[in-house]
Amino acid sequence: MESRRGESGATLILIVGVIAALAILASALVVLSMNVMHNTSAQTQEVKAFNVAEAGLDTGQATLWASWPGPSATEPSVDSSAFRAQFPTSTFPAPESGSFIDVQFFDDDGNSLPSPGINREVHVDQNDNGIMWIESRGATGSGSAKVMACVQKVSRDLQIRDGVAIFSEGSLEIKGTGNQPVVGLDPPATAAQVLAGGDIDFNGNSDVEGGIGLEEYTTTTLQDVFPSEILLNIIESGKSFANWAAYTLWKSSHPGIEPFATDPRIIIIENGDVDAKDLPDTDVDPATGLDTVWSEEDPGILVLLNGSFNQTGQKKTIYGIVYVVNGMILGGNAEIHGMVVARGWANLHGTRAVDYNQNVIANLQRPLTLSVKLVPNTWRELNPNE
Amino acid sequence: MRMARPRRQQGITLVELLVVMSIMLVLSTMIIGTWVALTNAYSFSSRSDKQRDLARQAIDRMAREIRDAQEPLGTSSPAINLAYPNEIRFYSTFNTSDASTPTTEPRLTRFIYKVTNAADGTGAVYREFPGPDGEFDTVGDNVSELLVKDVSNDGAGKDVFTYWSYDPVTDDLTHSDGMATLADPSRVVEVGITLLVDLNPGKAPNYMDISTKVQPRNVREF
Repeated sequence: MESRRGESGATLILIVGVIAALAILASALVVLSMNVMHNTSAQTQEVKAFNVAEAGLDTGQATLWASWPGPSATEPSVDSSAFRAQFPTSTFPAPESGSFIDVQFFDDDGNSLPSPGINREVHVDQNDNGIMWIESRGATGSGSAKVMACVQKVSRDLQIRDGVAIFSEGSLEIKGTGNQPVVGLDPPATAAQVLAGGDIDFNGNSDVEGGIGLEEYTTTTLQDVFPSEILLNIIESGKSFANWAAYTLWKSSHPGIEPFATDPRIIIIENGDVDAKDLPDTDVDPATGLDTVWSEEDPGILVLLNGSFNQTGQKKTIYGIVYVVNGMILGGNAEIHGMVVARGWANLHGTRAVDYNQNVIANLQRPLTLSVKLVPNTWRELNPNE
Repeated sequence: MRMARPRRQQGITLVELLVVMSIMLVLSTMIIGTWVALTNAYSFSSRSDKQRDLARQAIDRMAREIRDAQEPLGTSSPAINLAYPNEIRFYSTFNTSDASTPTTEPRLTRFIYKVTNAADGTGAVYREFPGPDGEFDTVGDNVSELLVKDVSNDGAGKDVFTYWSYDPVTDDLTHSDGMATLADPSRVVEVGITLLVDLNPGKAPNYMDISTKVQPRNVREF
């Protein structure tokens, strides 16, 4: 091949140089863009971590609401697996370090509100003043955040009026067999009222024990006897029964009241009739040795929102309050020791259908934990790494 | 004597030279133009990204601290004690070393937008603590930290801070509207923060509007 002397190959060098310079510039732009993306992503993950921490605080509140840890209770905890399951890993990736959520509970130091201190050594409400602290640390991806707040238990007594055996907003029929009164008294009560907004139809004085007064009222309201807002709170909250052994709500028509695994003391049935014989026995009467639903010392409340309560046939002994929005039929060997509230009508038959029990009413006047609220001015965001 | 005829010349003609120079000129112009454009793009990207980052960080920082506003312990002073369009003052334990101790006293903090160039209405946003005397001074001993500069809210007539206040008597929420209707700091339930940032400072202005809303977590119970 012929050599072409005298040519200087500057063009190639020039082109390579220009391409190199452009490549460097382009790389710098790419690096710049990646930095921006990284910063944006880091900031987004910080925000997400904060939201996780806040959700942890809310879950901590709900945990305390469901079961406020008294002085002898076990340390409350948040189910971190169930909590994690609420956040999709596609948008809330696993944290680079630490756990996704860590919720801690601490007692206060006993100083009164509004400036309670914190006792980090104790994880239950040891001083039993209804005040605790929750600290929640959330982490996702490279982000992490920690928040804390003081919470206060809001309780309220049931405020049930004592001295009322039966309250019916509609008509009331009391027709026994004559052997024993349909409505009686448990000692030590010596008197009680039977109140009806409609007509009271009964065979004669033999249907009620001495001391029981029958009254077709005109001014008394349900609010006077069983405050409705308490009932509404029971229904709406669903979890506010820290002072009760357990609570059960049937949201739909119940096929039967099994299982009763947790021994509930408050039962709310939204739909469907209930026959007393389906109620499971929870206690044993120490005097008779017979099985009972609840007991005088630890009575319960049965609420039927959209159904009737029927008590026929098989003997069933209930200690507590039966609250029925519709009507109720009590008969056979049925016994309700406590109080009956019927928003509709009530037909009572058989013997000793209802015995007013003042101890039951007294033992039901326990405070209900209505809510667990944040104490104002105690929320703080903390350094998540401390 | 007969002169020897020179061998075939290998040079280029003037026309060829001119053509080559013209082509090189065009090519050089294109390359340099591309280079300059890329350099400018890189420079603008670099400046605007930095400015955008600073603005985001500033607004995030302000939001977090305002959300953390807390009443000073044992006093009746509200958590937010001054709510102006260009300045907000509040108490907070944010980022203090002992914030996890509830008895830690919140410190007075302010975010303030100061106009530094009255001609075009640009300025900067600062986070400040009062000096040893506990008061914010117009000059002197405030502990000041620059959050973001080249903020053009004043030039555009936009408030940096806007407020929603709750009136428990009328049950109304009222939105502040500049100095004309200042918010009552003790009733503030939401703070809006808006920054109009020049992404191309010192060059042809290129504004970015960044805003957020924050609800202080320790608002009073009305």
